[in-house]
Amino acid sequence: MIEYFVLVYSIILSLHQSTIQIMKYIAEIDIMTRAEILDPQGKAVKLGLHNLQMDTIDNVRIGKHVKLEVEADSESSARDTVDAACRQLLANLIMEDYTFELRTA
Amino acid sequence: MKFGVVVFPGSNCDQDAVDALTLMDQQVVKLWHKDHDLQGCDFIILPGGFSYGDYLRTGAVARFSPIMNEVIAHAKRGGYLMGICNGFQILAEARLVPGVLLRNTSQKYACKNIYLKPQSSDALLTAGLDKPAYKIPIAHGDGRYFVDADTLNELNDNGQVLFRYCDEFGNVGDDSHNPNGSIDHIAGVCNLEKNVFGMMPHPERAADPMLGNTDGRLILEQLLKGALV
Repeated sequence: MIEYFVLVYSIILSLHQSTIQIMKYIAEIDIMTRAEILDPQGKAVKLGLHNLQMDTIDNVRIGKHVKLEVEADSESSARDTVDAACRQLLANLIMEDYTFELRTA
Repeated sequence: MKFGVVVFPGSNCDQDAVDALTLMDQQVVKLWHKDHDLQGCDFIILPGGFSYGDYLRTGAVARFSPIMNEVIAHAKRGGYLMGICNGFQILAEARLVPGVLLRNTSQKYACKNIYLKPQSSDALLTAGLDKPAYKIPIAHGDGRYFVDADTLNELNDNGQVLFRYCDEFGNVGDDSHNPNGSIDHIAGVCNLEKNVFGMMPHPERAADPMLGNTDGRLILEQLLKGALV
């Protein structure tokens, strides 16, 4: 009798586990200094581009690109983790904004 | 008063801080960033340097060093805490003082003597300073203090601005005396409760008479008044 319950329990458990699939996602994150903050690096690069006669180029701003992998059981859960990473460490929201794209690895 | 100087990987002004405070006959210990014990220190100093190689943003990774849990709890209890240069950047990342420190407008690392005018009349660090200007060295690439307009008004209204860059006579306002393009010529600020101090210039590097300038010692001596409060 006990063996029977253990068998049923293990079947139910394995069925349940098979529905939770851990996936690997890749996040491509862009972090940019906020528009109202002077970006002297972008300004210097714009001068360089103008020296190359590319006078039509304006508003050059330089930011950071972070690529990372994250394991999660759903895309929304992966999105939450990446969002928390951006808010808590990768970007400083006083001076920076961030955007990211997520895809399966 | 017992001082604790936190040592992060990449700190390089920790010994200068220890030396300056030792010259002032204070008890000083170094605190390793991986520890969780402030060893009963009354006053914590986050020194200058390049913690974690300045990776990501200056101070951004050091802010999550293990000892920072205890340092933040110490500050929230009203304990004294001071960040100098990279230490100021760590305080800003930890949101213990308002604002952020951006790349110098010049895009260059600035290493020279500048002049500071004390501002806050009721902060421990500046209330007793009566010279019109103090000559103090700076050494930083990311010292452009920035806050939004509303926060700047609050800082001014609450007397949270500690120092502004000035000329040798104490005149503030000329951009040529501001080495990094900081907003409103700000060189240092404190929190609203006035127990956490952050400044870009290095008073600890101008504390030993052997080095020919002791203006920094005059600033650091203000901290000792904290023991009397």
